[in-house]
Amino acid sequence: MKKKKKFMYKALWFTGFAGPAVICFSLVMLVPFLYGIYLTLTDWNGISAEKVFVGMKNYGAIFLDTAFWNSMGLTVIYSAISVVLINVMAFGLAYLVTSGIKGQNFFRAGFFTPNLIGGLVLGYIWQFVFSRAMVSAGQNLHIGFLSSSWLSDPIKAMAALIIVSVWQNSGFMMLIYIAGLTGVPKELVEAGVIDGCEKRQLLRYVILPQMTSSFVICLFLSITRCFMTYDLNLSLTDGGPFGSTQMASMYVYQKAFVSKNYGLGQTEAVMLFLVCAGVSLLQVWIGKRNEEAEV
Amino acid sequence: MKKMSCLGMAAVITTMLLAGCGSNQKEVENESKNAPESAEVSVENGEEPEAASESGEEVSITLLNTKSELVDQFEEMAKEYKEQTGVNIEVVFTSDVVGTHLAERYASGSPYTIMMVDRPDVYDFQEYLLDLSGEEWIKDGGSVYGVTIDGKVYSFPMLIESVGLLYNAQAIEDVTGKEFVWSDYNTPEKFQALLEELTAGGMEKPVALNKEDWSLANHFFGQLYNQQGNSAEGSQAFVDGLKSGEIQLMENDRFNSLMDSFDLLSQYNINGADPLAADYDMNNTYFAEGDVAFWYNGSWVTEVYDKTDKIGMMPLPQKDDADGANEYLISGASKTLVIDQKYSTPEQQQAAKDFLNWLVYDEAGQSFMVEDCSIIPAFANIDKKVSAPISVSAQSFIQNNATEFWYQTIPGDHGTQVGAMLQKYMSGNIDRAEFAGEVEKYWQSLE
Amino acid sequence: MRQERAKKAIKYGVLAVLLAAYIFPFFMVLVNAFKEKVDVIKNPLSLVGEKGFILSNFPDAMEKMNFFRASWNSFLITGISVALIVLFSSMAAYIMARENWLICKVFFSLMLLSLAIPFQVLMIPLVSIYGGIFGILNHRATLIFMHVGFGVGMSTFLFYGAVKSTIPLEMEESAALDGCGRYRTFFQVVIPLLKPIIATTVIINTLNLWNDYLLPSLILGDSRLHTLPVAARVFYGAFSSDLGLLLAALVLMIIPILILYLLLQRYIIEGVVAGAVKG
Repeated sequence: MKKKKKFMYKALWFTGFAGPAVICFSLVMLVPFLYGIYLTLTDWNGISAEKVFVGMKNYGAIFLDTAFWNSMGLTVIYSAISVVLINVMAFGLAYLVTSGIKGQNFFRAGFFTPNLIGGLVLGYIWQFVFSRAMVSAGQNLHIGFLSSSWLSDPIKAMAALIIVSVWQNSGFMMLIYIAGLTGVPKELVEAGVIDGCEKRQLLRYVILPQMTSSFVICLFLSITRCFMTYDLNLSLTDGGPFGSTQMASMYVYQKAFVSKNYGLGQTEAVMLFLVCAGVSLLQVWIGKRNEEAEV
Repeated sequence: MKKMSCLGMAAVITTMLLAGCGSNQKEVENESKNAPESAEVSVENGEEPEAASESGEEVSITLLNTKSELVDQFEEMAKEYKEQTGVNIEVVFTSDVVGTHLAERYASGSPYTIMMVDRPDVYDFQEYLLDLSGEEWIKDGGSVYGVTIDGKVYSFPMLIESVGLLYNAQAIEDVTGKEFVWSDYNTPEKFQALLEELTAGGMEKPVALNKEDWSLANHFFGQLYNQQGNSAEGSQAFVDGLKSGEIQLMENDRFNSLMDSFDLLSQYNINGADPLAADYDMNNTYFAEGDVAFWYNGSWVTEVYDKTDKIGMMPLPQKDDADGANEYLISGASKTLVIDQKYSTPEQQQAAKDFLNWLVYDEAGQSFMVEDCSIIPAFANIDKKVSAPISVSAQSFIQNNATEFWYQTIPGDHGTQVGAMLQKYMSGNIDRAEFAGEVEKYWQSLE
Repeated sequence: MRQERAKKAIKYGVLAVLLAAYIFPFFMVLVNAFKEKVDVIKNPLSLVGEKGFILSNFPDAMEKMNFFRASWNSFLITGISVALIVLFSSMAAYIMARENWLICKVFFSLMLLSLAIPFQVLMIPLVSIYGGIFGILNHRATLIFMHVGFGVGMSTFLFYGAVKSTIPLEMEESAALDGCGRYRTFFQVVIPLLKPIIATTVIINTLNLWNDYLLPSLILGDSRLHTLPVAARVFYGAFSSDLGLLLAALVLMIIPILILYLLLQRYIIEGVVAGAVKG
């Protein structure tokens, strides 16, 4: 009886607060996701009204698809480098623009602008930068590594993708870091100053420990965003030169819709989800452990 | 008590917000009732379909346009068509990949009545499409240019396009000082001599090559499949031979001849130092301004250039001139119209068929296609002449029956796969034998 | 003293260089929106094109993409969606951060996990279910509902972190002692303290939804319901895009977001003050 009452209490409060969010979330993400999982068990081509149930066949087939694993490897490398750079830049910017310098509002707005340009325009502008602006600068100034387009060399094209991803995401993550920095209690900082902390020590021993949750959030978001990069991949390199920069998200999309093998494409997309979820949850777990250790 | 009032407050806020959504929804529904021309909305809402056109009441259909250069023309046409026939056509444009876009629309149960698609899409979506074999326009070119599956015609050839070498005659004549007639230069030797002459005359790099998949793999390399006996059967047999591994490309005359010409063009390519950094718009500008004399592209370049209208098209000069490779221009119906039969009402299907007939047999329809859109029509009964210079040039090949079959049933991923291989070859990362090997491997993997 | 000044100079120097790199593409969009296509292609870096400084891209783009209708749609959809996302996810995050119940843990983990789902996995199932089975596509409300469903995950995550780290339990406890119910505590005590993160969440979500192309294009087939990014697709071509118009359209789309950002920035800074007072 008591147990039941307690359950009712929980259910009521949970529904009262989290109900709307949980319902929308479940209907829009969970249900389609489950249906999506079902589709991985079919040989559907993405078009026909007919879907034949094939069991685990697609899951076996992904292990034979070496091109998929190549794109996955590429995604991991790209994400690892991008995530580190994004967060270093983002935290650095956030720290600088909250340190009380003159014109910090102006700077904040400036670093935020990359978020405003999305989709194909983004690709077009950066294509121009890498294929033309940099090349003409490189040729005029005789700088070897700039004198041919970065986008026509597999490794440099990858570097270009990383640069643009850092450029675009660091402004976004900066916002979250700013919110985190402003949440650091002033009295703690003041106490630190009274205790004779230098600026660097203040950052290391007072501010950073207070920022753990911002770091966890930003790392999580940048990991998931990088793993699922699609728009940027499509608009900047389109997987080129010669398919060398095609990352998992794009590969999966092509498999499903261009090669008309929806079942396999969907299975590979689920695989991408598992890898991405695994990496990002590991990060949250480590972050949480640190947080507890700090306290 | 206080708890209750807080709860109440939250509830009120939520209801208000939800009511906000609700009223939006109503608003939309009202809009759609006020404007019954939206077939899509009425189908979605599960309302009774509008009555048939014969009874004098309104029918509305939707049309998917996938050619960005024709957006304005289609909008304008829909207005005129409404005035002339009373039938509403809601034109929708997408720049997404057509096959993907339609896969989404069919998954959501809301395709369009008429859809402009590429030929391979007709095969993919065949189960949803209306059999058009009984239409009048079949006899005037529909059976030749439409897509026929198992003896039934499923598509209406919207236009004919040609692929080949665009030339800027003005730019050539400015250097050489004599009139340019393409047939004087349609062998690799004569062609190269001209390129040399142009180079010596100050046009440093007289050729522009695109780097895009569709241009490299499907159009340029596609000639390998096209120039196989100038017939669908010849091309199909060749492709089957590739799939089964019978055909060795390095020993194939057509392959080598084509690659020789590719090397020749590459040698004079304005993007030569960095061919994969080519940009379509830049190439177009080079060509328009006469910085280059030749551009491997197609008849869809219908822009009017400021500097000159002395431009035209010719076949790519090749060593192996079998099947009229140096005389005939590769031409075929690329974009094609299909009608949905699964989600459209019989009235809508009829209205869609009527529209197709209007395009072919009505004066206004013909002038929409030929004059407004600069389309080279696929139908023999239309004697209107196009006006865009490159279209004029392509149309003259077609009217003289100097056309090469265009094999368009290549797989959807041919562009990305073979395109990547040709890009590697183009940028010097692999040699011809390696390239041939990769292409063979691609085809054999499809078997 | 001199060292201090040198340090400061370096700091500003670094910031200025970074700023230039960050706003350069934005600057290119702005400059080229006033040029004809030919000039955009040939000389994207020049301030004024050969054909002169032209304004006509703006009215042309507005007419072609039916700007006012699309703006209204975008405004309505983004506005309502963001309001709902912020309300729903702050409430959800609050209960999840404060209670250690199993159900809280389960849904919080699911929401976290959902952020790792590639959209490709959900795209076709989503339209099959809501289009093919229920037939409720082509309504703004449907899109709002989906935006909320996709948006609450990340926002709950953001609020969860903020509730855990910045809101002292004692304040809530004292509010409870004063006789405040849970809702009242939440709306009157917690929400004001969450202002900086609310402002951040509003900006982030507005940005995502305002610029979103894929979902609206899937849900809203009817052109009268098109949002700005969907309407702007008319300028994209298969071979080449209508660059002058496209960039003009982009500038028009950017302005509202930039204004919102500048307005909300104030609240983020206010957070510093709130932080100082609360002790």
